[in-house]
Amino acid sequence: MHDLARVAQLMAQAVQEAGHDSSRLPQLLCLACVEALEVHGAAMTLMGDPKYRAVSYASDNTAAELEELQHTLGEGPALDAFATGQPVPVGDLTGPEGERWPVLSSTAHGLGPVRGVFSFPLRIGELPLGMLTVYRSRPGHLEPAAMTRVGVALDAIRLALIASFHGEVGAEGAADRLPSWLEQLDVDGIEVDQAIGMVMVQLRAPADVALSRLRGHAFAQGRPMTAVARDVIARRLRFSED
Amino acid sequence: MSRGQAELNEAYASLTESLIGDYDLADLLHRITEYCIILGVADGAGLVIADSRGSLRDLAYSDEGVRQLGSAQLSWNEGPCVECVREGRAVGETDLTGAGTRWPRFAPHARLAGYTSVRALPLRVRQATVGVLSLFSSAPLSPTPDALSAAQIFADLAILAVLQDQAPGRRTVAERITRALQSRSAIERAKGMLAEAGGLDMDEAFSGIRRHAHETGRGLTEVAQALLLGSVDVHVLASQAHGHG
Repeated sequence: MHDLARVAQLMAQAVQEAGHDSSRLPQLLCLACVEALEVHGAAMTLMGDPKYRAVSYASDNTAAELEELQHTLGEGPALDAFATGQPVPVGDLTGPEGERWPVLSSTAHGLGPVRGVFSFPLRIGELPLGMLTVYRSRPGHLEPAAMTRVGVALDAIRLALIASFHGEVGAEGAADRLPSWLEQLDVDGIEVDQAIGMVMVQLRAPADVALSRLRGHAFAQGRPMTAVARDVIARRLRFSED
Repeated sequence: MSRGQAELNEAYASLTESLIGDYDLADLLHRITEYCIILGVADGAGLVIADSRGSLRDLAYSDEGVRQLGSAQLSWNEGPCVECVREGRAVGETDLTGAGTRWPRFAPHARLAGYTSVRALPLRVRQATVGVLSLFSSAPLSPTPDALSAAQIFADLAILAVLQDQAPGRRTVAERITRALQSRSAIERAKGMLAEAGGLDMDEAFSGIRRHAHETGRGLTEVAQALLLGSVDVHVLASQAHGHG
């Protein structure tokens, strides 16, 4: 079978499997990417503005951790792809190419075998929608043929996400209904946001300052943001102006 | 940067243009017709949409021959595509040489364009047929059910994307994602602020924000944004929340 046909077929099957309830759609698309693009893992983040919440979906734990780590550190190929609107290919995250993100590069060792990391922006027109990141456990760049496969996968992802907004055609109020993948509550994100609010009052500072203090603390302690956020909410951890 | 790295970057940059570019619906729809050919379900493919008044128009086609066959069917009001919309079911003809009586004008034109078989698949939204995927072949093709189903799924998504795109006064999908995430972040952050300022738990803080929104006739997101920006003083609101507690 034609290589691209296989990609189209796998992506289409993911859409079909998600069906009318789109709550599983982003994760199924990530899983389809793994198979279609012959990579070890894939993660997708949907976001509009890096200052606010993002929702992430992943094919597996390592991909999820790689994505979360980038959000915690505020650096990495996925965030660069979002910011620049350009693909960010990294042949080896743990090698010299990864030195653009020194903290991520040195921390990524702990995630397991993550070497080649490739991030692609998801955009609609001028507006960024998020990004797709795939990784391989071996170093090396994607071959041109693989890039073409990525193009088919990105088309399918964009179409599926746009279509998921359609809701029920003609139904009253459908115009403002959000697809269930966006409606469902993301518990981790909620806690981080609540902690940001608390730290804003503790520091008498705006959200971005509170966020970077939380990030700095999480990184220094080697703990995930959500764990730090829970400590703040439980009043076990306070930040002070200095 | 090494020479190899520079060449690599250049290769990625040129691929970027063709792959990512700017989202352009027409371009994406055109690629859907190409995917049908890649999937081996057709040699030429076209997408037609029925607009709100029920008239049909071309959305995308893989080549000029398909476009002409599509628009000819619409002007003659004859052919598989027209029949597919009218009857709301898949219409096919595996041998167009014998279809002269069924479609006296369409069949000879299709053969002249080099096609010997045609398949028109309905694209439905809530039972209503709102478009057609036309698949033309110049040789007997035997597409696998999976490939045919993939083509149908892409075509269905394409129609939904078009309907989404054309809905009047509707915010774009990217704007709606951004606003939904911003609004949720703002409300949770405002809850955190009020909880900290008033020594409240998150539910009490949420009640305080809701009460203020109700009393001032503003939306929750608006009140949350005002707290975040400082135009509503969190300590004042916290003392009010205590008064109610």
